[in-house]
Amino acid sequence: MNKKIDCRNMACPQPVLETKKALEEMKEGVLDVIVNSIASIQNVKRYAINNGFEPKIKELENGDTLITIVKGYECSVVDSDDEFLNKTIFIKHDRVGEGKLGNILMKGFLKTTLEFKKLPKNIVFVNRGVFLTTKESEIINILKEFEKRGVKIYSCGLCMNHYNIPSKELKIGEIGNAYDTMDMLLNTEVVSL
Amino acid sequence: MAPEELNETTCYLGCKDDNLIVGFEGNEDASIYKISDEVALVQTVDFITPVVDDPFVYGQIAAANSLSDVFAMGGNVKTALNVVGFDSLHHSKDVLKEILKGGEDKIRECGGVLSGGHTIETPEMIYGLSVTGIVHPAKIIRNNTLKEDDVIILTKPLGMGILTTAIKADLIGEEVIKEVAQILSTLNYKASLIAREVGVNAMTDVTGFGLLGHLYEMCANRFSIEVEFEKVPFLKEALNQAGMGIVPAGSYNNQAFVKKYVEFMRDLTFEEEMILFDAQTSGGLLISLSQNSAKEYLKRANEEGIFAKEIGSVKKLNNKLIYVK
Repeated sequence: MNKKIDCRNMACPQPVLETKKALEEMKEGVLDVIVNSIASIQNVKRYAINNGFEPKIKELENGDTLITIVKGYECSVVDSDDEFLNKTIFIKHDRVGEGKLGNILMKGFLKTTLEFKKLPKNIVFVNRGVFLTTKESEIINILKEFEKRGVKIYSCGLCMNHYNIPSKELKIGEIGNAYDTMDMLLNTEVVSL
Repeated sequence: MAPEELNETTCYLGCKDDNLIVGFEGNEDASIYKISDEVALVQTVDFITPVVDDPFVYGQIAAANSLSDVFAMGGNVKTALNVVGFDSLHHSKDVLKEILKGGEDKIRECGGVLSGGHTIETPEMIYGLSVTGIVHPAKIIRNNTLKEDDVIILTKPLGMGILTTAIKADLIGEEVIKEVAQILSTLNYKASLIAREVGVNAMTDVTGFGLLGHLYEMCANRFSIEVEFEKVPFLKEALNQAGMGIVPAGSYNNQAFVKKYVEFMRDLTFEEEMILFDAQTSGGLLISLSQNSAKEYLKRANEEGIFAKEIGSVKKLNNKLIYVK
């Protein structure tokens, strides 16, 4: 539940009281408070800080000040590094080991990985792995889930060329280059399937 | 109104007269006009919006606030006129009666007499007094006639601006409200009498400019004043309320104006700093007196049950005017 209150031209302690009331009425959400005096900015900021919030102050174009207070969410700026494991899954074949079991294992491992809260940052497909990102199959849908959660998916362009797969056949992620790929392999923990 | 804004408006008025001993200059507490070699008129006017719910107590506080300036100049109150803005839409005549009774109670307490007044309808309640007192022309106590090595004494605890704001917001319990009301309604009369008997160099009262603002006035660019924060009296609840953002705009104005003349020699929290800048209503007397006189003052005040605390001392003029240790 988001709220916006206009506390301009209010004498102390009105702005703090209005802010207090609005926050008490919200279970969780974003509260925007507009004020136009130094006293009000200081007072509302002080009230928010001493009640465990992290107010953000922003000067508006017309000279007013917007104070944003977030209640309930785990809510500072999301640092993407914290959301992901610093790992790269390196896939150099379209199956994990030999035979049909290899296909089943590939599907199984990828699907299971999705059950973890934190995912690896990248998945890189090289050599025969590029078939998984260019052929229609259940794997594509599984990879789409990774992509939805912000995981970067790269397929080796050179490899696609080698297997005569035109780039427009790429169904998920991007075509990676050697430099970026080595960057990932050198600077993250590599998991090979 | 913020100090600089007021200065800008009043500096254009022409106010000179041979008999006017004290006028606008020097930011004195009251005006003083010589009538004869022995008698000078002391005049001051002040009014405030309500600070507590009880109308009688509000009347007492507003009156004490107005009367204080006469005492700060070393004078005695003779007559007072009511200045009233009454909101009859929201309040009955009984409320007005109580307010005026409270005012009259305080005027009588210091030997003065209520002799009239003026009332108009206003959207917001205001009450105060226009006070006339007398003082011997040679015994006027100014606010900036400090002497080096003087001791500074304060006769009421601070934090009243913050607490009256908190009272308006219903954030304070009955106990603290009672204590605040008692402090605000106390007259500076007896404290002033002791000062006159003991002999002091300078005196003023702490009001809208806050402690540091009034100390700045006392310095008058001729001396520096050292304040010992540990010795400054204030109500603890004011710290809590300041922490909750209950600080009146006037106190921030004071901080903005006075801060450049102050050096904080110790780290104070935001709340502790605001206590020193907090605008007071009906504050105590700020007295500058020699060390010997100070000893005598504190002894006499203690004997008569008058609150008095030594909070600092006067030093040679330095880079900054006020040092907070």
